[in-house]
Parts: sequence; structure tokens; C-alpha cells
Amino acid sequence: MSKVNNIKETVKVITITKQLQKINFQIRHPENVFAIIGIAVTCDKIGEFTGDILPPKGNTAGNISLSIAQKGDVVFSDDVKIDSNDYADIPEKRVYGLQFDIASAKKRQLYFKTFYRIDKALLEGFYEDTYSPSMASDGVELPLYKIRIYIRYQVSDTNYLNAKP
Amino acid sequence: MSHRIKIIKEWVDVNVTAANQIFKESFEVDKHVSKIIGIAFTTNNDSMPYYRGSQKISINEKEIYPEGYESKILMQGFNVPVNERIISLGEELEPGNRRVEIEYKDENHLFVAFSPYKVRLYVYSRIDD
Repeated sequence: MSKVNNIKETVKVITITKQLQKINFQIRHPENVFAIIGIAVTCDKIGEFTGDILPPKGNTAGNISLSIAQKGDVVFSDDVKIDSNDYADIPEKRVYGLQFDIASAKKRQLYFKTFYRIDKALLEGFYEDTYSPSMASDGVELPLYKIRIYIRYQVSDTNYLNAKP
Repeated sequence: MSHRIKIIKEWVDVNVTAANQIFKESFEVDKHVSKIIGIAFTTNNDSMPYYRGSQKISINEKEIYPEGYESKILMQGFNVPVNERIISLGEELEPGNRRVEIEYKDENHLFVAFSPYKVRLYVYSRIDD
């Protein structure tokens, strides 16, 4: 008899279509899950091209918060960073000589580790786009982007292992 | 009485030959495997799956990573120590029917134009003697 996998992953995708957009959304938990043990958020927004050889990084695309429905307890809140547009994640694009050493860093994205027992069926979420481009003039269409919210659940209340990245 | 444990690594390649499509591959882990302990994900072109890729991975018909799970979360580089590159599944899984499946999805991205590439899913398993 095969064992039930004790970890369950879900992905919620939010699409941002307008600048300074505010979105309320809900995340329904899967059935029979016991607790939230990890949360990660990614953003596929492209950094604004500023004329440099390498695209910019580190700007904030917006703010996200997740809270328990009706209770309002905030489970997770963070600034969502624009993707660095480079897997190598060069920390300082203007220091050209150092780039190739640092570029080998390439670490794996890790989850925010938490433990939140589930007693409500929903998470309420709020996302606010705060990105204000310095170069874009009126009439320039900025591409829409997606926010992905990854939630890792513990299925049963035993054998809690938190070994995934 | 002595008890030996051997860890083996098997893999399946997904050749992504066209943009905006889903590619499915599967394989069966070795018949002597007693537990599946983890996976790893690599590619021959880092930029492609980082920006364009997502996948669903299931083992023994159980969904381990759901559809839409971005490849960049599973990717890792040289600075991750070798013995930490196995992405644990949270617990050791029974191999069951031993079938490992990957559904890899390529999606257009403004920043990276498509060119054919390959992703590889490694599966680490344990064989008990």
C-alpha cells in the first residue's frame, strides 16, 4: 500500500493588467490539509529598460498580503520584487568587473517557512501594484504581468517534515 | 547484521522543440527502488526554463508539483553545494507503479526569445540491500 504524500503544493496566479492596480482575491485551501508550512511569491514583470546593457533589478512591483478570511490575521506580507531579469542575479550591475565572479551564485529560491494551522477554508489576499516607471511617458503601454503565489501545505498532522526548498 | 543503502540517480529529458507547447515525458524508476527521496531539475540553457517554463511533476500518479509550478523555483546553480542539490519531497515516497511523469509547458516571454532547449528531471531513489 502506498503512503499518502504528506506535502501538497498549490499555485495561485494573479494577472496585473493596469498600473497601480489593486486586487482582492481569495485562495481556497485544498481539502484535508492541516497547515500551511511554506509560502513563496514570484513575479514575471520585466524591469524597465533604462538604456544600460543589463536590465535593472531590485525595483518593487507591488505589495502583497495574505490573511485569514474573516479573522484578518495576516499570514504573509511582503514587497514583490521585479525579477532580476538574470538568473545569475548580479547584485550590482554597474560593477562590471565583478559580474562574472558573482554570476555563479545562482541560488535556488526558498520558501518563507511558517506553520499556520488551517481552520478556515479561505485565505484572503490583497495585491497593490506600486511600480512607477521613471522612463515611461504617457501613452506608453507597460506589459501586464503575473504574480504567482505558491502555498505548501502539510496534509496530515503527523510526520511533519519541512525539507523541501 | 549489516544493512546497505544505495542511492541511485535516474533521469528523463524533455526536448522543447517548439514555443508555447506542452511536452510530456515519463519513465519508470528502477525495479529495485524502495523509496524515492528527491528530484533535481537542470537544463542546457538557463534562461529558457527560468523565464518560460513551468511544469507538473507526478510520481506514482500523485501530483508532486502542480501545473503552473515555475521551473525557476526548482533551478539551482553552482553555489548550491552538491549534497544540497537534491530537492527533497518532504518525505520518502513509495515508488508504487514506479512511473515518474513530467508535463513541461513553455510560454512566451518578452525578454527571452525561443530557441530549442532541453530540460532534465533527475529522480533520486534509494535501494535497500
